[in-house]
Amino acid sequence: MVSPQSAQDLIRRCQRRRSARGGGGLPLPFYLAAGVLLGLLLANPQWLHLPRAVGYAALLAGVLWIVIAARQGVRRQVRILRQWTRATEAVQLEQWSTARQALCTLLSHPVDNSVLRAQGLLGLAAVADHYHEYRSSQLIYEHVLGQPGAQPVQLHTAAVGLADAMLRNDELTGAVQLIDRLARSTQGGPRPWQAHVELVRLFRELVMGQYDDLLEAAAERQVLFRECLSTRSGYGYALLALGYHRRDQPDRAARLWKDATLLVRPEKLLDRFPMLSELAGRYPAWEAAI
Amino acid sequence: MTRQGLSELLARFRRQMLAARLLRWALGAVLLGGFIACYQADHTTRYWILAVLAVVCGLWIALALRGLKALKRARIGTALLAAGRIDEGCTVLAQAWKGFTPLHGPKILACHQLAIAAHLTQSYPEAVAICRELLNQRLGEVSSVATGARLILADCLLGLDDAQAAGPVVEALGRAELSLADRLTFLPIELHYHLVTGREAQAVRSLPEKVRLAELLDSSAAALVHALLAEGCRRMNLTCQRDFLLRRAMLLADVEPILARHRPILEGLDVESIRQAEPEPGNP
Repeated sequence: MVSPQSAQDLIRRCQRRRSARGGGGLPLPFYLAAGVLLGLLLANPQWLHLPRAVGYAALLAGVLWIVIAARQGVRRQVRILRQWTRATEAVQLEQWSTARQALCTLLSHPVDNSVLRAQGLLGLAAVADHYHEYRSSQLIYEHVLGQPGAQPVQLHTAAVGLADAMLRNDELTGAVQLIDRLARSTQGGPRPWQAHVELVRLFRELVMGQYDDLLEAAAERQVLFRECLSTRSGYGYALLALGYHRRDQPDRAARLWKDATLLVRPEKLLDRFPMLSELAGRYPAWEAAI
Repeated sequence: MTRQGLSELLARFRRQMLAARLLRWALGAVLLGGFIACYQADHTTRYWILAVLAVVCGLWIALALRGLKALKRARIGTALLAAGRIDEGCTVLAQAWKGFTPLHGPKILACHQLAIAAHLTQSYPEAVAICRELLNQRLGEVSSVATGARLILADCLLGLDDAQAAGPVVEALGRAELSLADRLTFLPIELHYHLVTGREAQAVRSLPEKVRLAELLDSSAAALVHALLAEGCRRMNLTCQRDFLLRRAMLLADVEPILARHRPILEGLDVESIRQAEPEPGNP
């Protein structure tokens, strides 16, 4: 589980340090000073009033030390990057327990790379969403949206996630404003971004009972989901089915529910959108053959 | 790009990579020699040696800056390719590829991106030649490029109907520890290879895991993987799984273009029977 307190704590702990260090784990001025010292030693080995051989040995040791420290720094970076990759892969593969554990470990230390930090926080928000900790995910999405170093795709994901979390936390006014703003900003933008916004807009219409709007845009949305959401379009079909069901169009509802359950198992659909339980007993679902 | 032009470019790339390696070794030797000479020299000679070393280092820095320029070009080329501006991307990448630099990273990156561009435009023989050249190089700190090059190579060889040549590449990739992104790219290639070589049992092995991975792909790629798995199930007489996978493929994307593109291996899939059993899913 990711409680709001632990989310807040991780957000605070993963912040960039005031003095970010170089790749080798030591501050950059330290390397510069070492370089100058070695240069002086090379120019005049007796500068430190040491025997000549000792001066050269010190110089050689210094050069070797810089090379080894730099290599270790690179290895450390590669190791950390691998840990990040594993954590984000666990989120993608929906291995929630592994993902939570890995992300909590990684985010409990300062993360200097802002893109990586935003990625980790978004992963943690996805974990919180899975455990229905929507207060925590809202907190995280709000924080990511305030990060200047995050990439546009990360900001978009955070905004869509925030709208979804606000709807679930009954903050309807904020959610409506955010979704309208998102719909305007993604108009003419990448189709997958539009699909994400349309999915959360559809959810809002169901929550607020705006069935006319829902049915009016249903066909267009179905095409968009199919084109852009791959198997996740199952969630969109299921929500559309609920709209048709509530508007007393059982044939269409049954058809869409069947399509939805062909792509996403019914228990997974119900876990993400409990409101779909209205459909589960009423319409037949696909039996997953695999 | 003509075949002749490409082989000239590849030969030039090979020569430049060799020259860059020799130059790096020469620089190391000069620095070490200078260090030893400094130890034995008197005060005045030492300053001369240091002056020579400074000039050598200056030259090195100038050449390395050319490398950074090439790296910048390679990155611009990559961005252009990602934006779908293939021709412009290829022009910029070719510029990065042709110039000499002692750093091998930018040239390798440009070479890899050119292979990607050739793959995207379905210029399979060119992509194969570039990938082979790339894999012959010592990649050092950019060794992650090797996996990408192998993936392109395997796919292009299968595109050229040369399953025999693709075999060792696919098997090497199958044994390697791949990242999730690489596993997703590899999945349709591996399935294609198994089906084309009649190893359907291997194609349908770990079926739930493969379906789970396919669910992470975009619509058309997911539909292709589902269709390939359905074909594997058909050949293994797993009727229930075949129908399920084919229905999913039809729901994910229009399967006709996919079947047409992979006609020889997916010929046995009967979309019509599914369509007759129930109207096509996914249409509003």
